[in-house]
Amino acid sequence: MDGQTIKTLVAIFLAAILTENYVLNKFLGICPFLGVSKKLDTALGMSCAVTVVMVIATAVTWPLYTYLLVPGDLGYLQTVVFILVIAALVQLLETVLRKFMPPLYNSLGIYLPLITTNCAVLGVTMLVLEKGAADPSFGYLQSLVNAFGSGVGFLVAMVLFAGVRERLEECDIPETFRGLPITLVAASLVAVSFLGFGGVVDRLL
Amino acid sequence: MATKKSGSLRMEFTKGIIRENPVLRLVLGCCATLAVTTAAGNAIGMGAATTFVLVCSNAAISLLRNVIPGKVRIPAFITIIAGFVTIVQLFIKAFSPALDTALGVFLPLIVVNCIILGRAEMFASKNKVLPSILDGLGMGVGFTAAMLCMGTIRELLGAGTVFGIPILSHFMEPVIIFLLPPGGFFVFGMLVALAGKLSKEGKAPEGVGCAGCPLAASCSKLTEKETCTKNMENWEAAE
Amino acid sequence: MKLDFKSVFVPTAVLLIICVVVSAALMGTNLLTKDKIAQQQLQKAEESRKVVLQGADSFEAANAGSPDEYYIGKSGNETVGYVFETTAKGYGGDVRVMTGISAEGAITGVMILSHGETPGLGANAEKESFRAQYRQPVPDTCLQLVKYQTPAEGQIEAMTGATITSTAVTNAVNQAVDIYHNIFGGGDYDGN
Repeated sequence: MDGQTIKTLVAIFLAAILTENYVLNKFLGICPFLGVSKKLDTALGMSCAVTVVMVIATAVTWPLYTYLLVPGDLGYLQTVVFILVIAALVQLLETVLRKFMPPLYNSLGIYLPLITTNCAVLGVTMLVLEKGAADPSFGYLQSLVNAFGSGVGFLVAMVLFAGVRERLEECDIPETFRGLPITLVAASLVAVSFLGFGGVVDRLL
Repeated sequence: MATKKSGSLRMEFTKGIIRENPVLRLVLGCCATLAVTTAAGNAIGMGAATTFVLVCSNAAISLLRNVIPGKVRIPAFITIIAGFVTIVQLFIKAFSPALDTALGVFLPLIVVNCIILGRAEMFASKNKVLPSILDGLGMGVGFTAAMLCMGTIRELLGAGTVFGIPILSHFMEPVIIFLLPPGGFFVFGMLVALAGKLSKEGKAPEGVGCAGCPLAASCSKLTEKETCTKNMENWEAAE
Repeated sequence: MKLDFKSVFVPTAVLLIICVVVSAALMGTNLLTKDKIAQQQLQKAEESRKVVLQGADSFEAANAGSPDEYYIGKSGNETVGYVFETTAKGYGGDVRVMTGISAEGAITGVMILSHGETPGLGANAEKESFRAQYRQPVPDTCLQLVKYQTPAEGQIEAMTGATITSTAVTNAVNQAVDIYHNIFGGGDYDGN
């Protein structure tokens, strides 16, 4: 792998976390972001599970689409096939964890079925193919790196936000805003801070 | 579930609009709401597409509710929903490519819109066809209304236009941040607060039990009471 | 897990039947809509080309598949000009630009096909007032971007607060100019 490819991969990875963050820029994965980010450890656990599913899902769906659906003129089956693959993967992951890593299963188990309907997971499988269509140099490897970066970006957003929410606990909030509204306002402020990363990745490399 | 009386068919429809508005009260379908509401026109397009899928999938799942075995419930629902989403996708691509470009990846993402799977799981799989259709319609209308509210506010403040017609842009410089992610979160937060205030019940409707739990849509452990109670604790703690 | 035949067979069979029915429905819908969809895509591409190269009725692909792919715009049998599609990195991702260059060697129009730029700032590159600047004779080397001054010939004034986007669009147009020079060698087109 030459220097240019590595540079590009690093750029893709960093961009997925900072400038194209799935939660704070693309609005994908909001439901778990709002629902599960209350405590740091659950946020961490959930994000790790999401990252794993994102990478495996991309690894499976990319070749499936490129070498099976497109040549077979079955592109319209993309939505159905992808979501079923993801559902199957999550089911598989659940079974594997339950059998081989019971303690991990017990702490993560509840969130696993939730990952199936996480827009970020289905989103990443589709968006990497969109990118690949516009830019032929964005192939399988780049897609995997992007998926991994997106998962890490999700994790970063979740963990940051969990910290913010733990602080919010100690505040006295008016009745109307208690719960979800103030959480959303806090999220908007975190999103503002991420706006500051715009352009950083290109300048950095 | 309480027994339904004759006037309650209307209730199935209206409950989705404010009291149990899927976006503002049940907190489902947030991703689409935040992403697509940069313009009022997109909000309506998305709302209409989602309502169509919601009504169709509710009807289909209600029709098949006694046929689908519990074990394969979720994959079966997902397949049916994905089918309807693809149908909508193809029609929009064919007859309104501009809308297709505007909605982008969020059009196929309707399939993971928690509202649809949630209603299928919570309602359509347990009720007859007509109430299910009305439930879907009501939720869809509520979803579209919430999206339209957000879309109008964001477009008006962020671009000075509504449906592309310049209104405020003659008087003031638009506040661009409303079109960006932070603005989305902020307007959403304000609307949730407002909806909470307007809704006489206060907090999450159908308060306790799996019905109010937003994780219920994907929870394969609905029959395991103890896990569900734990979920409820997490949810209530988050309130 | 009990391998009770009925408890495994029935759910699997039901699921399979649902999959088959759904696939059939989708295949049907696809057959109904695919021609219209193809037509829409063709129409959209052609309309964009007509905007950047006015006066052309039809377009013919040349060097198809290569990075130097372009379209020849014709009015009847006469070549009116050429249309190039190029991409450059903007603030929020790639910016795809379509550039029209006339047979006489002047840039006739520029259109932003897709971008991820900030609404209200970089997204204003789509406005006619910005794009109109590109309508000038093809430069010998490339167009220069300037700030806070009225642009001279061969120059483009950047949008305030959106330098990165302005640079991206200009880079994309310059790429088109490059391809034009490579193919037709020099600023003047001397007939074919």
